[in-house]
Amino acid sequence: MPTAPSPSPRPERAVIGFFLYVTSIFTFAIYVLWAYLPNDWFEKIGITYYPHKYWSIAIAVLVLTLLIGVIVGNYLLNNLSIPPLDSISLIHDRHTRKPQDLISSETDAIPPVSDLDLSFVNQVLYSSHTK
Amino acid sequence: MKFHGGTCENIYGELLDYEIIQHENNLSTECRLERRTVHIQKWILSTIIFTYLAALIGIHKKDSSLLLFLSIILLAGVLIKAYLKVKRECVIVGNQIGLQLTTTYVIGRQTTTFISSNRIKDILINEGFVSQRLIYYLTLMINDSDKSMLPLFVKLLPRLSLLKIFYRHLYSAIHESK
Repeated sequence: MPTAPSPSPRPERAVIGFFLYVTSIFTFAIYVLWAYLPNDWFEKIGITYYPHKYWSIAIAVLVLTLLIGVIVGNYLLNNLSIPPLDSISLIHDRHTRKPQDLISSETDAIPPVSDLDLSFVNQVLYSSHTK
Repeated sequence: MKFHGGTCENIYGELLDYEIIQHENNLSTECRLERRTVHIQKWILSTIIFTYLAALIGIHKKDSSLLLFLSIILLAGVLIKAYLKVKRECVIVGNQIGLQLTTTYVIGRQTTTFISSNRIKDILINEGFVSQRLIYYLTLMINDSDKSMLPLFVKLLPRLSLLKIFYRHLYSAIHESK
């Protein structure tokens, strides 16, 4: 069985996380300075090539709209990927394990883990179990 | 002819009436689920609220062509809702004949689906997703290659307590001939 990708912490992930944390604080400080300081102060220091101040508002609006869009889009994407009520993937799909009847029941060994038949489960849960 | 009925709840909280009828010495079983179509409280409350809002906007002072247009839209909305809203769903199982699902709408229209008994494999209570909720619904397993499941009672969606009662009667009706 192939290993699924797991979200557990690893050293590379810690380094990347720390780098992103420092970079995001630094970028936010630069953005606030650029947005609030008047243009003459930049001229006096010597910085003459920087983006137009219009973009300070535009970037802020873009980030907020992206946030709302991601939340709404995630909800809608989830709604699109649920199977309809008559799809067979609600009964069995590519991950279900059918019981292998090749192994005979004479040995005392524990049979391998497999999924129970759904009609059997229904009979046990919801009606008088007749088997 | 044995008859067995009562009231149960929908997954949305509406009240549904159900009847289970065994005809002709248990040769056929009928399970009927009916919705009481007019909720008096919801209708009165929405009428009062919308009349108040319309009077607040001042719709009664506008000219009659706008009012005619709005009332045509309202009438079209009511007709579409009556065309699509389900009043009763009925499942009839005949011994070695098959299963028939009949859906009756508020307007009087009826749609029927019949599955003959050689195509029926099994009946189950399965869990599925409807509008971000996990619900139980009754479904019929069919032997076809293209369509293998037919969900029953999906427009009315009763709760699990009623589904268990229906499941016991329909399971014995489908499997007693096999």
